[in-house]
Amino acid sequence: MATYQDILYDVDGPIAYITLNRPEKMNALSNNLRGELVHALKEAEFDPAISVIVIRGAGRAFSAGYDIGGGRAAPSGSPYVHPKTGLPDVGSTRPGPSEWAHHVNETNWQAIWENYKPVIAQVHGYCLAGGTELATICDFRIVAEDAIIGYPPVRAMTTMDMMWTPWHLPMAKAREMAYLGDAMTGKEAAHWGWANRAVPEAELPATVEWFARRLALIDREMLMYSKRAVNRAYEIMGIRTAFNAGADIQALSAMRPMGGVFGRIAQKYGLKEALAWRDGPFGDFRTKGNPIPRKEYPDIKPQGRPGQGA
Amino acid sequence: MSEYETIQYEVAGGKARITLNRPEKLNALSRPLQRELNQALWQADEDTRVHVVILRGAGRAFSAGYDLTGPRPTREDIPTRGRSEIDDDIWHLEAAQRERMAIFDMHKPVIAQVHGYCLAGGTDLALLCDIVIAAEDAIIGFPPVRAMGAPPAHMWTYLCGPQWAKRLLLTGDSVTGAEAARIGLVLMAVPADELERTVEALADRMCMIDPHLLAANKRAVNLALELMGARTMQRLAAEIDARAHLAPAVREFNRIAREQGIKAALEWRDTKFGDGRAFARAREAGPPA
Repeated sequence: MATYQDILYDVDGPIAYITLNRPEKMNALSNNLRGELVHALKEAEFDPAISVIVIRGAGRAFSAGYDIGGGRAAPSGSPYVHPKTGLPDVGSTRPGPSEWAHHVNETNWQAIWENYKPVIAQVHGYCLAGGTELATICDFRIVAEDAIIGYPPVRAMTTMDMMWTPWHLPMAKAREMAYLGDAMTGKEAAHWGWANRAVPEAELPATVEWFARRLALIDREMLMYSKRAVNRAYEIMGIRTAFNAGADIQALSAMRPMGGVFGRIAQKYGLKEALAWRDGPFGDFRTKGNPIPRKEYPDIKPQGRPGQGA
Repeated sequence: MSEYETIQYEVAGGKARITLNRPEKLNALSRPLQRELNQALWQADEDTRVHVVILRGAGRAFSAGYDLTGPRPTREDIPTRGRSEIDDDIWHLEAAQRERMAIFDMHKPVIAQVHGYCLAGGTDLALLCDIVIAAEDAIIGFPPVRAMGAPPAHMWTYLCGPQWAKRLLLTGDSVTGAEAARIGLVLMAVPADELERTVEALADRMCMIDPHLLAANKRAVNLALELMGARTMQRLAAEIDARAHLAPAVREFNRIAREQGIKAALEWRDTKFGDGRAFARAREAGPPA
């Protein structure tokens, strides 16, 4: 059995539980964590005893998103990332400028959409940005009623890496989440159809287990065919091409003059200050109930990302 | 400089040349070869010196197709069920497809330099390349449709249109490089002794362009293909091949191969089709006298 540093892997009968395990970082998706996750998903796919895979988060959150606090790098020698790029290797590590969105989309796609077994996201606490992409690519989402699900980076950084909202929400709501980055609660997520069901957080693990065991009543190959047929319908509707096109647009959005401002504030004054700059005027997340006007940084000019062209 | 066993890999003047290198087997695509090809494609993609990849074959052929004689792929660390169940079959077909799709998914253009036989699995590779240039006397076709399955990759319809796709896939007949150029299956055909020079010259022109721009323009055409369903069609093609493997004729082919050897099975499959040339006149197309 593989040894993991950033996730836990447990088996209970036909269910494989993969627990994102960086609770002190709200399970921020570092490259090593993502690499371990890809590896564990393959293990579960190959294990003939497993019918269903559950992804969940340790501590207060499912995941607050990709690790933008400098924790992206994998420890040297980590077997879970490509030796040249330090990124999870699913064939393409998508090197080159502005390829982040393509890379993370490809990773989620190969590891979860293409997995032969159904994957359930068990979502509680914060599920933000990259966390929503991970949960969305899963087959099912079962959520705590008070979970906070949203994509705040669209307020100041880039568009969504994986443009999932049009596939799960009515158009008006899809636009609201994609433009504003405002969060929905777990209860709202179930109402709109993003989540299969929302339950009080205390009941979440038992509900997920009940749901997973119902799936496991069906033979694994049958589940594989059902997943395959539904996947293919969405592929024919263009989901993969839309994700690819969305990733190209994400790269464009990063090139706009304002695209580098968040990063420069974070670099100079710290991530907390950058998050306050981004979210303060909206009065949510860290500034919940106490909106703070957007601070001016005369020393930081809108000039695009360093080294990424005009 | 090549760290590969079944292919040759070299980089020179902005070009990565990947040469399928099992000439004694007409470059039959074994699993190790397919895996090495995938690694070499990504290696070229990550190498900032490389603008364009040339894919070609050593010896007498580009590739005569999948290796029908090699050992079945297995994983040593877990018990595998072999290839008996249909979902195992699909799994193996899709595993190979993921590796092959690097040609389509990578940033840099790939030119196929096709000479001699380009049959069955050889076409799965060549037709996925961004541009195919063939020798006039190359032989291109998918004879396994006669008794073994369907192409697990499908660019045929996109390249030569539905009628020619059906003409070739409903008979297993082949076209020469010159004929393939006529129907759009390949970009152009040149005399065999000019093939390498033609391909290198085209690649040299791409070497004058920033790889990031090559990548953007490759992606634009790829997205156009995707909007026509080409990516999803690849998925469906693998599934359809698995379904085709269940045909009684395939069981019969496998029985002959098992009892009398692969050569006898291929003879049983192909002899009645004569030389199998799609452009042959009607009176030449029947069974041999």
